[in-house]
Amino acid sequence: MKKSKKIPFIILSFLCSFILAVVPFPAELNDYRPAIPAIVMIYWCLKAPQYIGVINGWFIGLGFDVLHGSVLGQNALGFTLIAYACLLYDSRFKFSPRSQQIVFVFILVAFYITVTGKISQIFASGDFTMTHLKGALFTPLIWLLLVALFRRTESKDNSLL
Amino acid sequence: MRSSNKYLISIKFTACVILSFLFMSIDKNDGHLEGIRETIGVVVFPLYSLIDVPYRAYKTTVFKLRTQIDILEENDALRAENIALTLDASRYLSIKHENERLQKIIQAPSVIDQKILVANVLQIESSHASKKIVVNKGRSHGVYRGQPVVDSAGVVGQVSHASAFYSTVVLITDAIHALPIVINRNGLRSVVTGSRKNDVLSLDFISLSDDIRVGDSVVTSGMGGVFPSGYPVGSIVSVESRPGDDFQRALVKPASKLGRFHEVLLIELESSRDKGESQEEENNSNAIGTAG
Repeated sequence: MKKSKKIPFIILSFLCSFILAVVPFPAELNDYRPAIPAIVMIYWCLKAPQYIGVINGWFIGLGFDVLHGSVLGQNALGFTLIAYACLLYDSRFKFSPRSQQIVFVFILVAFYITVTGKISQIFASGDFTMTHLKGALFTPLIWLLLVALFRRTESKDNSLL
Repeated sequence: MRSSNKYLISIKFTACVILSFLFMSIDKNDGHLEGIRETIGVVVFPLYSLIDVPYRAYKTTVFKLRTQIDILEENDALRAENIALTLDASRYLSIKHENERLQKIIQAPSVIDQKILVANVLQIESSHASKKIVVNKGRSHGVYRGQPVVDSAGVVGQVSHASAFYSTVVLITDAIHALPIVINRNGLRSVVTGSRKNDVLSLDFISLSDDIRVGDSVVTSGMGGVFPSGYPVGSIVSVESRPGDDFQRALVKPASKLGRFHEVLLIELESSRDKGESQEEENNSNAIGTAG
């Protein structure tokens, strides 16, 4: 599959993740809502670094801030951090086993939740406690789903993952 | 080549981080990033209506599937309620006339007329810690920043961002929101603030000599200029005074259902519309004044 054909997939996956991030959940489950935009961000940073990097990540984060009603720059900063970490770790990530990849993604998502939570505590009326890290619990599941989903669409491109 | 690439990424990263913090601090201290929010919103806000579609579809389906008997029963109930309300309204009218006459005698400024705009609450989860709702009316419908929002039971909140077709409403239970109130029974004025955790309002700094009891009803006082006076806020559920404290504190349970799954009403104050654009800034700072 040609590289340029990735772009619709990238846009579509981000839109879907945005929708899933603001769709109403039952109140009891809301704490466990996975940070899907962050996971999608990690995925494309590693998979298509020529399209999704630090700058684009920042703009996508800004868009998410507007949609989510958070302080302008909160998720932009979070996505920038994710993109930077991914780009630094990129070459090692490709050659590490699947289990290590999942641990890396999990830690990155937990870090993202902590940073954005702290920022919303400082700059807005948010509250951050360790319970918010429940949102990272389902990260490995979402990650595996995402890999399986896009592996199918790009079965011939085995250069990554 | 490889190292220069990394160098470039680091520069981009630093720039983005600085820009983020700049945005956050400007956005915190308010107002100047509305344009950016608006521009990005053009792309992002259509997602709101997309998310709302299943819920609306469910609602209309349920509505269409009701039997005639259900509708007749509801009709009867509504008719009975209508009679009661009409009776109340006619009594209210005479009281209003009497009130106007008395106010003329004591030469008080007349009560401002209010228009209302009904808005639907979109089923959107806002950033989880802050208590906000999104409604489907925006600037094109005449919504402005700082506009008071109520429902049939009481005060819900005020508009914090108004874009072209949607606006965000900060609930009164949000930690950054403060609301000037008066206690109905004795006319004691104070300010209730939201809290970080529960759906209750806290009423701090009531001096020990003030008379305040569980069950007292609390209404807006109209001070601060954002909310008109006389709208129910809630009732006091607990009063606490620890020995050694200089103040007693109380918790107020909001009367309104705070938005979700209901329609809300946006109150349009005649006076603040007439002031026009030039005065809107002042209105905003006023809103923040009460919200701070």
